[in-house]
Amino acid sequence: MESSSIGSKRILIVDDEASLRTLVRANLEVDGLEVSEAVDGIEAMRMLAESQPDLILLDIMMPGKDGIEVLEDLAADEKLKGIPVILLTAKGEQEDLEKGAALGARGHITKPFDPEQMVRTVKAALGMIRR
Amino acid sequence: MAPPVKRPKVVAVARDPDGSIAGVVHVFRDISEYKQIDRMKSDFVATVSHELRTPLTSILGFSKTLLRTDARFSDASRESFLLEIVREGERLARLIEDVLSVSRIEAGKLRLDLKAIDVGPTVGQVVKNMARLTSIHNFVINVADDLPRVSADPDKLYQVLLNLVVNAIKYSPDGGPITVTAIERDGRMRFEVADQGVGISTEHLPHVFERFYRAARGKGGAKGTGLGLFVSKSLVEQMGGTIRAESEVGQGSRFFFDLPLAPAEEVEAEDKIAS
Repeated sequence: MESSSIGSKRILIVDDEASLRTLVRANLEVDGLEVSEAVDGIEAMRMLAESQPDLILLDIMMPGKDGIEVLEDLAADEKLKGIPVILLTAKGEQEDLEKGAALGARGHITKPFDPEQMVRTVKAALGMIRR
Repeated sequence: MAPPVKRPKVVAVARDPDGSIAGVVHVFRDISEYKQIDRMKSDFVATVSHELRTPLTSILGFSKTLLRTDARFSDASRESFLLEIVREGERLARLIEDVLSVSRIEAGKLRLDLKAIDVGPTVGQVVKNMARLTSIHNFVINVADDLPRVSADPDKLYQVLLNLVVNAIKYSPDGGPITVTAIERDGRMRFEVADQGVGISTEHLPHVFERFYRAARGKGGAKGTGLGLFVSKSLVEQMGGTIRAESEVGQGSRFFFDLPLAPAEEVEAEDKIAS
């Protein structure tokens, strides 16, 4: 394991599915990353106002405030707009992906995803490994 | 489902006996209801594919997590991953069962296998299977040992109770007690599933048993396919019972249904087969 060399980069996972948050957390934590969870866009914005992670993994399809609305909020906030965002999407959400890219999302992961690949994508976005 | 209206507007010309036009009749049909059902159906397809993909993502994700060669997880973690796989697999199975039930109900092809059954073991099985899947709810079973048997299809009764308990869990996101009761009342068996969760507003309550209907309640907003309660209601009615709900926002919900008791000769026949 490479956890000792990684330091403590912090990731915020925003998804309304508890099981998916657990899946992401387990795989990132075993690689030495620190993970916090938000159940929807509203909770995410509340948490982001208090402290800023190094990266956000953001589900698009969520009740309340969806991922696109979160991206819009982030883009409009001086303090938050530099945080890299990776979108979590389902196949067939092409239109949302394009919207997300236009709003500054760094990349996307399509569900269902390979956890090992997900970890690599996150680390690459953090500049911890080469793509 | 009502057939689609092909011609919402019809124009007919009324003629005098000599053939000259006496007037024109315009017939308009109000198709807003059909339009609404149509919209609900396409929503439903989107919802079902989302509902199928969500558990599948977890099942595949946790399985592949267990197979990661570059990471080592503790035994406790591995066990919790397996539990997630079971939980999400069962969710998938329930969804498929509900979707199949709906198509059978709509085609009028729902078959019942009515038997004289003891309610205790069925209630116990439902609670046992659901209790494994949550750590924040505690289950209370109120079923006396000496209850008479009911006339029901065992699998369908299980499906109805399961749907009601799943809802009770889903709509009490902060945990709390979930009570499952069966009592004999007025010569029938009355079942009740009660939670102390978020409750249902008076606006949504009259509609909860409608197909595809989902009340945006609870922390996560609208969840599920909007089929569980529709299927439950159909199943209870086919077995000769009625179902209804009571709720108060912030206080929780109670769902009740009743079923006929098994006739004495049916009970004797079952006993004979058993011995």
